[in-house]
Amino acid sequence: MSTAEVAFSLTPLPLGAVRIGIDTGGTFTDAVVVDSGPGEARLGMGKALSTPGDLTAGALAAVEAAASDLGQPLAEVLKQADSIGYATTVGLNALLTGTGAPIGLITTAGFEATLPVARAAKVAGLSPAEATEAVCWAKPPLLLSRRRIVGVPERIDAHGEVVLPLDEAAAAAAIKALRDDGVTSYAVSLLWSVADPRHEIRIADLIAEIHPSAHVSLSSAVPRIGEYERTMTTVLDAITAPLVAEEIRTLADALAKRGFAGHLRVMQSSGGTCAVDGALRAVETLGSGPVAGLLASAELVQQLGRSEAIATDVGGTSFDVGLITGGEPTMATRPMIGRWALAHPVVEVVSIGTGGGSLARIDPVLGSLRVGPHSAGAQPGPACYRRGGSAPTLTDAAVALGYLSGLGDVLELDREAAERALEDGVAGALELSVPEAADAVIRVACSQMADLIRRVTVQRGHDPAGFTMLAYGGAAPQYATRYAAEVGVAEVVVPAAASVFSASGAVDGKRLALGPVALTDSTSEPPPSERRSAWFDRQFISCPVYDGPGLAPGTQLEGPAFIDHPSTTIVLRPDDRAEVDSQGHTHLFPGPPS
Amino acid sequence: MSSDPLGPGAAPPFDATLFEVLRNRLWAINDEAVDAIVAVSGSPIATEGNDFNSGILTATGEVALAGPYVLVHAAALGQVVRYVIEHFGDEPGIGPGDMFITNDTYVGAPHQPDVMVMAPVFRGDRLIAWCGSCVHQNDVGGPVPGSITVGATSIYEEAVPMAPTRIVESGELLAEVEQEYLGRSRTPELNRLDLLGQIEANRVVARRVNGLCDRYGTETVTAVLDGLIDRTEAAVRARLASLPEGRWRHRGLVEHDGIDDRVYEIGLTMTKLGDSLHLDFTDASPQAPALINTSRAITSSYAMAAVMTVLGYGLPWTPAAFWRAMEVDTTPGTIVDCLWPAGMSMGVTAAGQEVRTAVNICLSRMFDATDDPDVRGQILASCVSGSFTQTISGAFDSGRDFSAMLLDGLPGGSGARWGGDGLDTGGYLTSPAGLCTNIETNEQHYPVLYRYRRERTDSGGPGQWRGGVGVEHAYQLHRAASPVTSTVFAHGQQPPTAAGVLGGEPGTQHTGIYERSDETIEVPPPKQMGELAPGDLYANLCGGGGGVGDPLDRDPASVEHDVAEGLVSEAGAARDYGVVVGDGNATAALRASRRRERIGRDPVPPLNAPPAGLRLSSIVVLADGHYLCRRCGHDHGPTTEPLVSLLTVSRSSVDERTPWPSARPGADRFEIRRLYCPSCAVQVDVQVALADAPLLETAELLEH
Repeated sequence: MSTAEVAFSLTPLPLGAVRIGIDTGGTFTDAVVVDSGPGEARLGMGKALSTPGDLTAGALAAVEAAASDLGQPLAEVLKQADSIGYATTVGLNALLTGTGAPIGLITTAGFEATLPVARAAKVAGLSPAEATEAVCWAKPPLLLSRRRIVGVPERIDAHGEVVLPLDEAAAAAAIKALRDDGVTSYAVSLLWSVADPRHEIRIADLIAEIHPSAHVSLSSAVPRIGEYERTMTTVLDAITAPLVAEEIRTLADALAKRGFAGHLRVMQSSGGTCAVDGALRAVETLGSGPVAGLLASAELVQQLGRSEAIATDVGGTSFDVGLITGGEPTMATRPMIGRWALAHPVVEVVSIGTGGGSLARIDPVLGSLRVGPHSAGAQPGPACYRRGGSAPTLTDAAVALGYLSGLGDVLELDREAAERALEDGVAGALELSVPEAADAVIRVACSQMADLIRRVTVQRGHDPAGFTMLAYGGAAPQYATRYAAEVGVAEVVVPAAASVFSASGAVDGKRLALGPVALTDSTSEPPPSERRSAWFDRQFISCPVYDGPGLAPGTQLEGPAFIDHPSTTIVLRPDDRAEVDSQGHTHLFPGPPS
Repeated sequence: MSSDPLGPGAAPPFDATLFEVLRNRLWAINDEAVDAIVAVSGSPIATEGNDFNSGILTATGEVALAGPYVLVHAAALGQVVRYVIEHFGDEPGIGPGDMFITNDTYVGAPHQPDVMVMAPVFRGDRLIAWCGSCVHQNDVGGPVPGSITVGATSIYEEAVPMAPTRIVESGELLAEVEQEYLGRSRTPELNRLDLLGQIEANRVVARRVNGLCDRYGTETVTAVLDGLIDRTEAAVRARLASLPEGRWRHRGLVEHDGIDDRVYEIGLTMTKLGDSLHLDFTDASPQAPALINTSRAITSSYAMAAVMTVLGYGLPWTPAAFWRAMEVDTTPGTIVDCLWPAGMSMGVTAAGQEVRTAVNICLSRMFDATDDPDVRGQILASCVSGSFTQTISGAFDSGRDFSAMLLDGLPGGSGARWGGDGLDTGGYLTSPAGLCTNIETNEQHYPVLYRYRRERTDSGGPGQWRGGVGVEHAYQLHRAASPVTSTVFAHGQQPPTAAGVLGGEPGTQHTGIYERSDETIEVPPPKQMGELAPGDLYANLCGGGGGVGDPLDRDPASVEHDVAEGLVSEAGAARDYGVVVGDGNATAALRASRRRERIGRDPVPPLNAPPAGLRLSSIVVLADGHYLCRRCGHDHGPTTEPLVSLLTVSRSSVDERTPWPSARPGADRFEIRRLYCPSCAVQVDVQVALADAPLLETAELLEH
């Protein structure tokens, strides 16, 4: 990763304080190092490939890259650091790949079927295509055999009164039977434990006596009425807790060995962080990566002196939207992870299957041009990746129009392959030229993104036009002015740290405590680094390309133009304007809808 | 950007990109309408159970899109709008800002508690579209709380419906009409919240659709609504044209009309010729006095919902497109086309469910007549039909009154599919997003304490692919002041109603059971207004879904897995599947003896490949004017005879898998008939019928 230093104004953080944020994803691990003194605060950014099975290696490599971005060795940064915030994906991976701990569930006798019944939910979390095909309907995956769900006689009522005392002998027998069946982690979820947790606590004590090495998750840790969601959450916690704990322990040991003596804190999907101790609940780490992005957004919004914002992230397979109102991320009303319902508060991130890898095709019934939700994924990926994909994707459309030529230094994109895929998949059928077809693909994708933004804002009684928009993640800056114009948003901010934005959200505490961001009056317009022929307003025109990291604060640019950053490209349509602020964030002012 | 003439103009040429943009946008607008309803709804059934729907219609009242909630509501929207157009269109007229309310079951409301609020969408003074929603209310009046009267002798003893009435005029809510509607209800404040939500939802749609017209032009927007229907219709018709020509039959049964324990039959003959579907329900019993009937409108809505769900796989769920490709025939004065003053306060869970099951089963039989594996992969047995619904009302020991409809009967079993088992406790086919409530939610709101919520072992219909098991619940009163009124409502307590297909067995029957505090057991009739006293236990045993294929063909490993998971008992494994758990040799021997018992001799072994011929089903082909067994090649006889007359038949009582049907008199009115190949003993069909009714010829191919 090339150097991209960003100057921050001085903060009340203690002199010499260094804070680190790490976000492990499935493919990449991102890290930021915030060095707040002496002198000017500085931000180092690093990226490394995630190592399957050894996430600590990727995390250390990313921090090392971020340290070297600041011209420092890893050991030096770790020695100075007083906190590391860590967003992990290990729990979610374990769920999706079925590699979590072997668990048992102990519940109130008579209610062993709470999870299999799942409130009869059979379409929640399915794609629209699956939801309209009755033979595809399915309950959320059960995650454990019914043989490992054991009821024990006990009952507490809605008022918290004991109707039937806990049968301790039965509980002990249940624990022994599960232990002998190979269970290493227990979920305990009794009816009305929210009103009185005494029976759950007693069962936890019994597990500690009978099977001291095992992990125990109690549903009373989730203070919510509704046994299905609470039991589901407890089971998710029990499955993931041993792995998450082990990962954190490994990471903590590796960090300590390299001289880190500060606090390691783990990101939670509620938006907070938790110290690495008994209070950490693994289930609350699930899905915390996107939440870290929203926390970084909230921070940035505050720096900008605003309080209402729409955070948007275009990834390879999805478009994610979160809302910030009153300066805080909004919480989900019906939180879910995958198809599993959750009972604890979770920052809301709403997604649709429209991303760079989304496939474009002609709907066989309606004859209309569909984009997504099917995706080419990372393998084979868009046709322009030349990894065997031949179906046209959203990224192929951007490449065919000349908006993109490479993914940073990582990947050259094959424009001819993109054009061929579009010709074969879309343009021929619609009797359009390739650039016309590519433009249509982008139009459909952006309209879907705009629909989601409207839904998320209007659902909570807001008009999107009154919001500032943030655009981060690899592909959002390519499309942001287009979908922003569609919903009437007047200003889009592409953060300076866009490519490692989630990692910056994982930085602990009042993370950066930065001063206000200023747009200066300078009208400097630097010379473009090159020119690129790109399709706007139904023709190819020669557009200037600017080197993003080299742009001085106050730089103002007008579209059509491109601003290339190491891992993303900002597309300015004709009539879009851009301005770089004192912190290196790029403010975009969209022209009229395309 | 288009110019926007307010008058009608020519439809613009099709633009694949713009069509997609606007199609997505219209869906988002309908979602926004749903949000508006849910945000203010006062009806826990609606919001916890997703018992509502919302849609956008063309100017002529065709439903172009509707949500995935209650699909019967989606079809009903069109019928109500077309009634309003017909009765208000010319005189007194329909104007901008008008809205119409109804819960009239004769017009299309599924039952009286389903209240529909419909609105025209105007562009200037030109009507360009309609929108509306349907939301289940706690109470809409009538003699009993909850508005469902067991024992009613006519609709006058139920909640008398409100015909479509203008409730908003030029944007103004008409106070006297609002009062007329709310004044009937025992829960006027809650109903008012829903009414306001539904009105706001319609305003949102009108505003947003006008916004689209501003930007893209009115003709473009209306062309998308029309195009959605036209293009989907073409696909539905093309799919129908590709399917075999033929005629398929099913007979549904509804016992007990709330007064007498009579049996009502609903016969369907489905004919597929060319690219359309004819659903002939004319062979149905005369109407009941009240409660269990459906009007022609509701019958049609249920039929459409079933056609869309089963035939519409992989197609856009555009209700009007399916509506156009099908035709429904009924005989006035029957249980599926009742005439005033017949009541129908719970027809949705009686005749309506049997209509759905009949269509579902006939479509699956049609799919079974093709060799196309993609089509056969859509074969689906019936889901639970008619499980026990219960309303309770009374008071807490604190003196506070309560009244509730419990959704404990919802998670019955889903039907098996070709190649897969049915969803256990998966619920109804035509309410994909329907949910039951948490036990804790019920205990929080009502004076009840549950004893269990379990999966009901052995309730799934046996088959090569098993039907999903149903749920069973039991509770007692807890902190109640005194006995409470308990009204139960169901059918399928004696005859199994969740039919199997391709030789699959039906799902097990359901029942309610009172276990009184003195330990006596009472099995209530399927319609009863009774009492639950402190110390009594009420159990609701919900039926399973139907199976697909001969149960003796089920992989023994799957049966053993089900036994391990508690979904099938060891006794059930032996009885229903001929599987001796843990003993492959014993299983083989037991299965061989079962096949011998079926036909009274040693069966011939199957052929390696099925004989050539015209496929009637996975078990029979037609060749040279004869029926041949696809499995063993046996010549059943000439096609001039009904096939059922050529097969081996065994008859058994309806309590062979569960004792509850015989807990009340009348179980012997019904029987289960199993039809076997006389040569290889494969189970061809399982029919549930009145004991004196003839065998049903379920499949027939036609020349086009």
